[in-house]
Amino acid sequence: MGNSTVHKELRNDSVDSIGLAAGRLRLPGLVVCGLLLVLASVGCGDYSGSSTDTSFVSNNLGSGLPESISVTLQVESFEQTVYPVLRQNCVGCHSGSGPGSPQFAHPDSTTAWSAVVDNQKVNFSDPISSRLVRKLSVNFHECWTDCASDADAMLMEIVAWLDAIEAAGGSSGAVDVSGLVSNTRQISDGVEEVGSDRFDTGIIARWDFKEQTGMTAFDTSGVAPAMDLALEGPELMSSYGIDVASGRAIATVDSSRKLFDRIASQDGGSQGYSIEMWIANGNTTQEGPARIMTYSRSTGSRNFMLGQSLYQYSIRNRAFTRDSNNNGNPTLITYDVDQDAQSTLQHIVVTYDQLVGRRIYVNGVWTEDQDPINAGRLWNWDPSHQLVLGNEVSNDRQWIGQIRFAAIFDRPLPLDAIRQNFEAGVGKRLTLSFDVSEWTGGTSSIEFSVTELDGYSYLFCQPTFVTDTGSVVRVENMQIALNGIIPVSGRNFSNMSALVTSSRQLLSRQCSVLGGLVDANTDVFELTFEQLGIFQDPIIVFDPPPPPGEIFGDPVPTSGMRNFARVNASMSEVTRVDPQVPQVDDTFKSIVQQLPSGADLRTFVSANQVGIVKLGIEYCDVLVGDGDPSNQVLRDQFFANAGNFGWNMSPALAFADPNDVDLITDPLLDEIVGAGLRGQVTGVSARARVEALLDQLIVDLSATCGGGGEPPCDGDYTKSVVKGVCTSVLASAALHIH
Amino acid sequence: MMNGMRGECEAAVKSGLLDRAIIRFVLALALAFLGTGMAGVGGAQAQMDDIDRARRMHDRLTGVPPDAAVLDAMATMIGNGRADLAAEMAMQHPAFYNVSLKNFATPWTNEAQTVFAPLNDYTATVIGMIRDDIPFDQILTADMIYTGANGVVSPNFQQTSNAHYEALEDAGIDLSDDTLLVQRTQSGLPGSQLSSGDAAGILTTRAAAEAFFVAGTNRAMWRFTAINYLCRDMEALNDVARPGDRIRQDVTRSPGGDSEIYLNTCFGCHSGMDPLTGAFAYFDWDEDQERMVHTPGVVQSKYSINGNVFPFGYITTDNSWINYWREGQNSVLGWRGTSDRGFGAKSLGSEITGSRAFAVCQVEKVFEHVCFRGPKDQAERTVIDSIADDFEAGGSYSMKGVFGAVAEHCMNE
Repeated sequence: MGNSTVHKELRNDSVDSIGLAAGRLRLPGLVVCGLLLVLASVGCGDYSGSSTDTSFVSNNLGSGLPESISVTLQVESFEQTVYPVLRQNCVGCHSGSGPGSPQFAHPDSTTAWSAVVDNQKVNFSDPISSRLVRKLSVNFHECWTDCASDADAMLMEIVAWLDAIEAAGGSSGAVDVSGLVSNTRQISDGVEEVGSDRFDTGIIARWDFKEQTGMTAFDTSGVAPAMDLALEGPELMSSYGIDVASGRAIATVDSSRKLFDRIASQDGGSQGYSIEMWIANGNTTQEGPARIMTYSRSTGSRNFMLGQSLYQYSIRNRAFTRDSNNNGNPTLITYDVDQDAQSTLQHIVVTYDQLVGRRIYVNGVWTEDQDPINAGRLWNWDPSHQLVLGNEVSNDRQWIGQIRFAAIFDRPLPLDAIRQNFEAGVGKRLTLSFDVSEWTGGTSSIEFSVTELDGYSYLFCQPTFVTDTGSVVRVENMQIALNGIIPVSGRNFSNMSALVTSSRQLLSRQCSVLGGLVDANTDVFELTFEQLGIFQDPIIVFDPPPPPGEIFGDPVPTSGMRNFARVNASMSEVTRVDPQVPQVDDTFKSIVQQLPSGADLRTFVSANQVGIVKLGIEYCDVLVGDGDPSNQVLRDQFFANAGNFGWNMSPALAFADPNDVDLITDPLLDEIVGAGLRGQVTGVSARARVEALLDQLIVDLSATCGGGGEPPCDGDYTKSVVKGVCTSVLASAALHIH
Repeated sequence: MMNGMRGECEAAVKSGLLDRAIIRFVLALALAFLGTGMAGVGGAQAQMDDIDRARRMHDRLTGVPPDAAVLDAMATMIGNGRADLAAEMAMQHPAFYNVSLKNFATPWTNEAQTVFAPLNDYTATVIGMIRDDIPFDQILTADMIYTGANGVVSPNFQQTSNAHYEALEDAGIDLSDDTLLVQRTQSGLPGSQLSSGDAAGILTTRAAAEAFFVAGTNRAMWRFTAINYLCRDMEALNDVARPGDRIRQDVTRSPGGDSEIYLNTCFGCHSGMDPLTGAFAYFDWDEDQERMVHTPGVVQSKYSINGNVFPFGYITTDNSWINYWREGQNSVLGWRGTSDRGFGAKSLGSEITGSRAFAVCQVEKVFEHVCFRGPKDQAERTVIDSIADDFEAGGSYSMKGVFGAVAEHCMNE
């Protein structure tokens, strides 16, 4: 049943029940009047939206209205909350003199309150669904600032109004009891639903898997011969179906011949067919393709097949065409990006006809995957093949999962029929009715549509309140107990706050998963409520336990590496070389991923250091420059006292005097390392230690020119020595650990 | 390590910039310095003075070393008991914005949480808000965005491209300069589909949309917002005791035929997350136009994809959100907003930024960024809580204040 249909039927029920409900109300004076007005407008569905706004009710069918406090108190709380917002922003149309109706911004607050309540502009059961809110949030009706903010403001005032009513002792006024529960029920108390009508025209084999016990799944199509399946591994499920963890379900060659005769035979075969299955793939990692259903002899010879490969379905079909081989290839595979195969219950239909060949429908929708070859006759099918579910005849293409239903048709199913069968559902479905008459008087019950979701849980769907009392019944916080325990997880009706106003009213269109299935034959169910009718059993919400003490973990280094951006910025900062210089920028961008990504010293690797050196070389190359005076500006600024240094001399001459060496090393240490070299290392001045290293480096470098295979000892080499010394400092840990 | 470096050394030599012999010495000395530098840092711990503290503070805040004048001035301030002023001085350096804050925020802007991503409107907005000391609790609610000033780079801001911000970065534009990186409204930008009431800080930036509204179901926007602004991933928020009535139709209730997986694993996240992601129901990322799209009143089709996986699940009909995590174990996050429910991204943003967890999370992030580690003991947890108190005090939500306080705490290491 579609959502809109649910809504429509609910609304019709509501309208039909108005007279009945109104005639039997037993509530005091003013409340009765209010309720009569409320009920009279239920048919308009105002607080659930306009007659065309069915969206909200599709999720939540709750309602609510203030009870048990005087009109005076209600109006007072209204005046302090919602009314000022209405007066401030809606007075132009809804004050009585404007075109808007109702007059909820009327200058007289009681009149305005009445307009709000009588026209159900506020839903105290679920304030966010109040018409006053949704007019702003959904319909964008005359917002005064922006609609989202205005809706928030209105919502806040409605919540404040509700709080004020509850603080004044209103809202429920119910009688406290302990143990507000229904009677208990078991699966055996349920009435099995026949389900919606299926489209079964043309069915030639069908397996419902309702056997419960035994080693055979019977073909219930009624079309002879019966293709009963021998269960060689798969187990029958109590919720109908087979659980395929290993092995296969296989028909005999003789009974399988029914498929050939009805579909492929040149003597009356339909030359078209459909496979319909309800399956739950056990995972999305199996491949092969793993055989879900195959009509074959081995991995190399088949008539048709439905298989699974990861997130894709594979369909093979042998046809009497040049492009098709005896294994049913080429395979039609669903588009990988669509991930059509999921590890959840799915309705799968494969069709084959003479126009479009193979098609696959998942949950009633064509996947839009086209058959890669033209269709052909099926005359070349092999009549000696066997039908197998869950594996190959040769037992080496295992599929794992559950098969809840399977059928084969001798014709391609039309789309309408496929959708009809999808909507008809699958499995054992019960109507389970819980008696709550004890709390409501008369005869009242809550009906669920119950199924076994799988081997672990039940699915309790679409609770419906059925009563002959004619009274308005409040239902709040409904929960389902299994064997005396309400499972912590899976509760879907705990937010329920519904007002039952008709003799049969859907409380929710949703389902709740009830975990903890022990044995469907013995499990006991019970409903509990926080409020039911005039009784309440308040749920005490305990503060959560304090979180466990924080685990601080092992100590980590207090120092860290500069990451890639900090390395680049620091080199620029200390050398004053613009990082946007193409030579530097290009290198930085090319090695950025090689530089450290984070600060953690423990992640530092040699590649990081080499990357830092590469970048340092570029910075120092730009800093020291070459023989072109225009490239010496930065050098002259950085080595401020080295104007007379022998930049164009050989290293031996340029570094002959130790004072000349200092002209180079002092700026490097002062500008790049700076304060980091204060103090001592193992009793010796840190700066003196490093300076000695640099001095030795210069000596060593100066000795490696002029020889065979070595560069000439000229001014260019002297500048290279300076660049090397610069790089050794710039790329050092002294700068990059901080 | 040395063996590994030889290969890299060969590549460096091929650059032609230096001779092979020089490279050899450079690498040897660089490694030698690595040891020396570490020894120096280690040795400095025992005899730390104000110069060391100032340098540590500047390095950690800005990512670059200070020049001598700034170092001396900061050391003096620290010596005078005004480490806060020293931190303020450090935060005047452009690298605090272009380098440190850019690295700070970039991982928040993409699913891979990589720091290797270009500047974008999300990071620029974080940088700008911190620079201008905008109360940071507006980060998820304000109709605000930072762009380059008109004409600073080409192109100007575009809804369909990040080129503007990449140009700002490529040009090395000084983001500390409020004449170059300027504040604007998201709703006022050319081509904007947002009203002022729809704009929700960085949640509605182009970069956030590209990262978290692309494809999928918009749940990513919640997950990464929780990671980045509540410092909690879904595992930490998982609470199976919440109501499941807002779990959407695309969530299978029996994965692989085992509903226990749903109840014990899926349910705990989806029961709280799905009600919150309703706030983004009108948002999507258009991969063809490469822009965020906003359709007020029209729920994006991605909210109904795979609706037949479990037809009895929740159907999104508007952009309402509910925070079920206000109750149960996640109540310890300290939700303090005016309502546990609302409409749209802006009010959800307010719900997040109004929480205690938001304030603590911002301090924790700064602590990690500046101290290179999390708190090491309960005493440091107390320090974080205290800084968070100051962060919230008077609604200032000053991130600069947090950076300064954290840097002061860690400058002694």
